[in-house]
Amino acid sequence: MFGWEVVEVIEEIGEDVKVLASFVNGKLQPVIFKWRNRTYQPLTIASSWSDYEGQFKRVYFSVLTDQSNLYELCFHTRNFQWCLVRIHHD
Amino acid sequence: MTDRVILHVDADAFFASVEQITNPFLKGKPVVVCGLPLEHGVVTAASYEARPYGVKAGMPVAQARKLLPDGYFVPVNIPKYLFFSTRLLSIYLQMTPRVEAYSVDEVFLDLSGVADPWKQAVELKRQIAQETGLTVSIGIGPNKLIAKIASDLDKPDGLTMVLPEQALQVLGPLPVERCPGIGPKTAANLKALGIVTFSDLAQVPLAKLRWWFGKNGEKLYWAARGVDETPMVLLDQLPPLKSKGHEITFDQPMRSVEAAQAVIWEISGRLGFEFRSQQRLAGGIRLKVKPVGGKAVTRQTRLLAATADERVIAKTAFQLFRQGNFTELRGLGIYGIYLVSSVKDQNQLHLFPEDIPGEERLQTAIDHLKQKYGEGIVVPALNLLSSDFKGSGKG
Repeated sequence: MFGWEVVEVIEEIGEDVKVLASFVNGKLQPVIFKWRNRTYQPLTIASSWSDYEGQFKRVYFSVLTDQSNLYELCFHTRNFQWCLVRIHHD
Repeated sequence: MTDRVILHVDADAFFASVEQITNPFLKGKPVVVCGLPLEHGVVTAASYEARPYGVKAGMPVAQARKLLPDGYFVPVNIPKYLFFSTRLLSIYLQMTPRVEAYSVDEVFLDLSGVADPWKQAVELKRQIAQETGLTVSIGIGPNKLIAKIASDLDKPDGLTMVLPEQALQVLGPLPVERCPGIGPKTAANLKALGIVTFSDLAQVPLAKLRWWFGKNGEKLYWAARGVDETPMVLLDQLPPLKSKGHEITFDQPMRSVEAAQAVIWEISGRLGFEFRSQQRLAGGIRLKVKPVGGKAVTRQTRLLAATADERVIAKTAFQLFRQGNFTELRGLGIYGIYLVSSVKDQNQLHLFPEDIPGEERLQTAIDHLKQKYGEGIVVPALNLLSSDFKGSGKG
């Protein structure tokens, strides 16, 4: 019973995704991502932050594609892989 | 010391605000940041929208859910908050090098000699809002005590300046609990003596306060008058970053997670005791694991708050251990990293021994026993498991 709304608001995904990214003023920015055969664009970056796993930096982006969902993407510098961490549903 | 100008900057509902910034859907909504596991954890922070419902930090999540069934409950994300904390710190350092990092979301800035500190504070708030999206509440005063109290007078997004000549007038009607270092127990003791406000406290002669509260009575006496000469502990005055740890090499391969957990507790207990004895705190934990037939691997993490608590050290080390898929071990080590001095925290957070949480007092009592009778006199029950594994220590 407990956690029902939590699951509704935040959905943990943790799946690798394909991302088309650009560098703007020396900063990495995701432009399009593809997840489960669906392409998401255009992406509006709401915020970004970073942390470290050991010596490797991970850069996180919270991006909006429409008015109802926010996607948290992570770029891992260990393997240059993008991951869809979670989805925040409005 | 009378011409000091100190700013206390407090990021408003920091954890919850970071969640709202990184997820625009949460803006303006009651957000509750929860420790993990979400079902059984406690509330770490509540946004200002959630507070009118009675939700506050430290409350069990289940209780918060009852108070706020339509709230947005999100899991705590420490690395994200540290990222924003670091960004704030870099903004403060652009204004002055005289910065004391008081906690992850609070700093003191020394702007003594600056012509217009109010203007500087307004500019600081603007810059923080523009670059991070966060709001801060700032108190300006002639010392750290008054600056900290002032920042609490107008929240969120407030700015309050208390001039030296206004100090008694501003402090007078405030309840004594507003004084940093006076916890609920001391406040209750004072209340029993008929002392509720700073004004009441200022009426009591020094000799009487000394009689009642020992050496802390003098601190109370001066706090009631808004007098505080505590120096700034600047970032570059902190001890150089060092690490300290211990390793154990096993005589025979260790195969069970339970045994590894017991060893982790054993090393953590020793480290915690040493840190407390040496007045050190670890800002991070590094775990070193030597698998059978393989090279040693290390994992490390930063802690939200520096600690000498062996339970935090052990829990963190065990979390790091669980991240690896180790089957057979020939050795294990734990290091406290990013070490800092704990002297500042002891002086500032606990003016009075009765306000020290029970667990911390227990830790102190155990340390006294260890100092008197040796480290092995008190051990967690879990450590008894590790006696199955003979090993040699190092570090």
